[in-house]
Amino acid sequence: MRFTPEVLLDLEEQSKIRLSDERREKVASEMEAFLECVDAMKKTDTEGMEPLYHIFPTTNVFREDEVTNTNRREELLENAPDQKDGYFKVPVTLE
Amino acid sequence: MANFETVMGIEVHVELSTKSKIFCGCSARFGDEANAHVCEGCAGMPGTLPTLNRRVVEYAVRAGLALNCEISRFSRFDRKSYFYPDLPASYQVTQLYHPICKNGHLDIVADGKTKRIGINRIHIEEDAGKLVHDDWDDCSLVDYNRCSVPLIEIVSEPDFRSADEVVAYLEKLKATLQYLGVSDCKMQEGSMRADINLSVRPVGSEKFGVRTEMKNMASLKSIARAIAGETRRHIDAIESGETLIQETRRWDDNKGFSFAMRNKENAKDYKYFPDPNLMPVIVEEEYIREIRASLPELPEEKKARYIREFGLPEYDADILTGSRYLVAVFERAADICKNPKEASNWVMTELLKLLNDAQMQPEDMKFSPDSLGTILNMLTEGKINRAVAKKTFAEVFESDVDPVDYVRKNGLMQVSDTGSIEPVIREVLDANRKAVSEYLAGNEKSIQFLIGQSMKALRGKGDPQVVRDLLIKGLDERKG
Amino acid sequence: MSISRQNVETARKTGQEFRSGAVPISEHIEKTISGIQKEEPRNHCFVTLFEEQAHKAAIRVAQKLRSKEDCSLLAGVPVGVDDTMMTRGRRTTCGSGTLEHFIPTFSATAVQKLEDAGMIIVGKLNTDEFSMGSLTQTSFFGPTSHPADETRVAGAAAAAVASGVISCALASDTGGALRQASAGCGVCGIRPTYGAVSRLGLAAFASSMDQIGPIASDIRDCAEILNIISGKDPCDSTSVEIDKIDLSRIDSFSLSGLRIGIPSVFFESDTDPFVKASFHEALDALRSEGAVTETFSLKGLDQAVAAYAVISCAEASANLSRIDGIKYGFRAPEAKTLSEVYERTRSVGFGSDAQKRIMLGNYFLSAERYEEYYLRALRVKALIAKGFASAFRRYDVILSPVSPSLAPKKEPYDTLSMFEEDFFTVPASLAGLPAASVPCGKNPDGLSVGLQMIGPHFSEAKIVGAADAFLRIGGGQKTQGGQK
Repeated sequence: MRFTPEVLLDLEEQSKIRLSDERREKVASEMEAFLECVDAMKKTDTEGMEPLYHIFPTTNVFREDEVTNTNRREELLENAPDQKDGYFKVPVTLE
Repeated sequence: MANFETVMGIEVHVELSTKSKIFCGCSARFGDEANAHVCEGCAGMPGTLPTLNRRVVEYAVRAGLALNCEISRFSRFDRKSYFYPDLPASYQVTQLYHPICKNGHLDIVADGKTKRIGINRIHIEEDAGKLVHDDWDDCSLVDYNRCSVPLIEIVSEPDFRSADEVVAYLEKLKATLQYLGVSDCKMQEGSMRADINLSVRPVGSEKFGVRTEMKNMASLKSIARAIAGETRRHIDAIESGETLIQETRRWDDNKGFSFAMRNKENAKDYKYFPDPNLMPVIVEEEYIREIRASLPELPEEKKARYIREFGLPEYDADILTGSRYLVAVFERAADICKNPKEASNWVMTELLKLLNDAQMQPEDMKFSPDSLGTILNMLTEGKINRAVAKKTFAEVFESDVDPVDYVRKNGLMQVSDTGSIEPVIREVLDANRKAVSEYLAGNEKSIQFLIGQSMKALRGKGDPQVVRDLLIKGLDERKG
Repeated sequence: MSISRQNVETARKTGQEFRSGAVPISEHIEKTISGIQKEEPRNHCFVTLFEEQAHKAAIRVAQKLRSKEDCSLLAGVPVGVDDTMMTRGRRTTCGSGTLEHFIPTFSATAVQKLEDAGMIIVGKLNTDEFSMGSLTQTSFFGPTSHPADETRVAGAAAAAVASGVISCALASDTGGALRQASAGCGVCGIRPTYGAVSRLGLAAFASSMDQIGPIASDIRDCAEILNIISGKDPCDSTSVEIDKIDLSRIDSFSLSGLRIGIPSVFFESDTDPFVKASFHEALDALRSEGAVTETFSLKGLDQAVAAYAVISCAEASANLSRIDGIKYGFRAPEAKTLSEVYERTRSVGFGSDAQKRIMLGNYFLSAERYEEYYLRALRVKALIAKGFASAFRRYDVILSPVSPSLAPKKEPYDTLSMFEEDFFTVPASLAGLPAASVPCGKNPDGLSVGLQMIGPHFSEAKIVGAADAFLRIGGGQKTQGGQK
């Protein structure tokens, strides 16, 4: 079992997702089964293969340094769950 | 303290002075109302995609060449994931695996010695937004204007052993980047920020101690204080057998102590991986040659030239070339008045004094670059006297007045025709009989008082030499 | 209800009727919307209907047509758009509770291009949560019903087209959703070459594989729509230019001599017997027209699902981390502290499947496992892409079934089994290849099977030609109506 309670708890923290105690075990076993299938991949011989990030070897895709956007803050704040004085409002952050 | 050695490396974040942000067409300008420069992209809305600002690569390569780096032919962008409200996509685009520049160095002078500081890498990344604490509402407010402003992060080798070295490095770095025009490097506005990685070890030890990273230092002075404070904390911990942990700490300059940062900086795992939305950057030799050819004269070359061509003292040349903004004022003034020594003297005395009195940095100067030269020309031509020149320059510095206009409107042109001065001298001698008799009794110093009174009556614009000559002539007449 | 594709006019014909003035656009739009509304309680294809906006657009487009302004052949034609694509000022949920009330401030490039071409978006189609799935099982709004069997699921874009309420739609395809949806409902769909259609405005699932493509009952309609939405977009650094498909040359496409490759591993898979039989029949039909078929082995293909699972979960975990309750969308109302905002918003807002994929993605990307999983998956991807490239030196197209099984029942599923459904479709996704799904059979219960045609990069025209020729010889109708 690789999804030990510790690993799972760490993943929950990394993912900012809290599983309920009832769900945790089921999720762990599902993910374990999933991982076993994925592990089969390790049998594939990929000797000499470089990881392929992009399908096409395009490089140097640039935009010119120009300001094309205008002030649209009211529009962008319309979807905000909470706002104040033109800011996105959140609970107190601790540094 | 004597038995311990502080070992430091510095990560400097510098905001590049591009017009627009790194991945979108929002303005990168500082100081506007909150969230004025925000679009769907830099607010992390779903469905948005980044497009790389060409100038960011150019500026990073410029910085890399000036800092003697190898420019990577191939570089790429990675995502660094962590949750914090100032990071709308919950990942920052940076370059972990393939930074744009590597293996450079910068020579500094500290404690009278030249030292070479290694630069491990320079990579491109995006800045985060700004959080404002709202005490009234007990909440935090998020402003994404700074979000996605392009940065370069310059990572040094752990080559620093003293706060003086750190400060000298940062000053040199700042001057260099300002010369290149890639950043304004204003620490107060956050466009230049230094994080100090610090560890302490017994002198002679090869092994590094536990390292902590310190953030949030707003000035060179607070950096020096932070280094002293954190060094003390490490030594105390070592001596009392406490365990130090590797962590990121926030320097509180008021309390004079650092505190462990609780949230974003101590994430366990940033889950880096290449951003599938951004293509790699290939820098060709030809491009590097072009950039190299376009580099301006850097501080060291400039300093040498000032000494060689203008005969300036080394100290003056060093101070002048320490800021491209001082250089700009000096070079323009020297060019206009054709007297580099005089121009240098004015920058070294008058300008530095004005800056110091106003608590300003050279980059904050706002006046027209021609003004000092114009003033110096008026001075040499005898149109104004030295006192008026100083006063006029102070006005120029303060409110960018046109010096010629200013002198004319305020009637400050030097009066040197004897016809205008003689009646004033007569009045002064008549009104100050005590000083006159003292002078006539042999106390020659009292002439200074009489000069002062005459200049006052002439509202400061009398030609001091003419005033003096006419006074002596008048006094001689009264010897009678 | 039964599917009566004969009754569905092609989008091109509808467009022609608008241009000739035979049918007023407004009337047609009204009919379309009331048709959708009538079927919706059963079908559950649409998340949001744009009734008012569609009527306004109809008037606008009609005006344009009257004034002989430059309009596409499909001007006025109603179209549905998958709800993972941003529609400015109109709700876009991405099938997620986290964006239940989200109103985007910009439109996806593909959406904008449809509207610029005068097509009228009548509503947003149900989707798996952030496209994570194929047949709407993970949608916050519940699954879409299969047109032939209410107890089964279907991809909404394909179901809406198959049920005849619209003639065409845009869908997204990461691991094969577009193709599987098309196959399951017996309609046509094309996933174009990676980058052919801008991803700007498509909510990201796995950015390196996400693509937008058309679904229609008619393959030529698919081609026409692809011509409208494709094109290099300066806002999408990964976008590429593909040639427009010349529909006037499609009639002359001949199957004779077409070189068809079939990866042998595709025969060894655990595939539904009816699917297998339909696939073989399709091959027979093609051979009878002079096509040459051959099996070959493609290294790494058996691990395509694993590689896809790793890459897609990894990218999704980062892509979905922006859904955090800070800037837009759902924020758990009871959350008081910052960490509660994050955790409760994401624990309540995301469905269970999304949560698992995010956690798995973070597992694969953690510094200690990055090399073992993520980089290895990218190596398998490289191997597969290389295998395809060399295969396409010998074959014009590579064929397979689209899905190993028939439309599944509406019942609990698990993440693993959903990935297994992607067996035939993920290879093209990994290699960024264009692939079409065309109907090649229907069982007596009306459940359809699709034939997948994969071509080399930029070979959309050839795929459309082959698909059209296959449909012309009746390949897709053969087993219809219980003949089998």
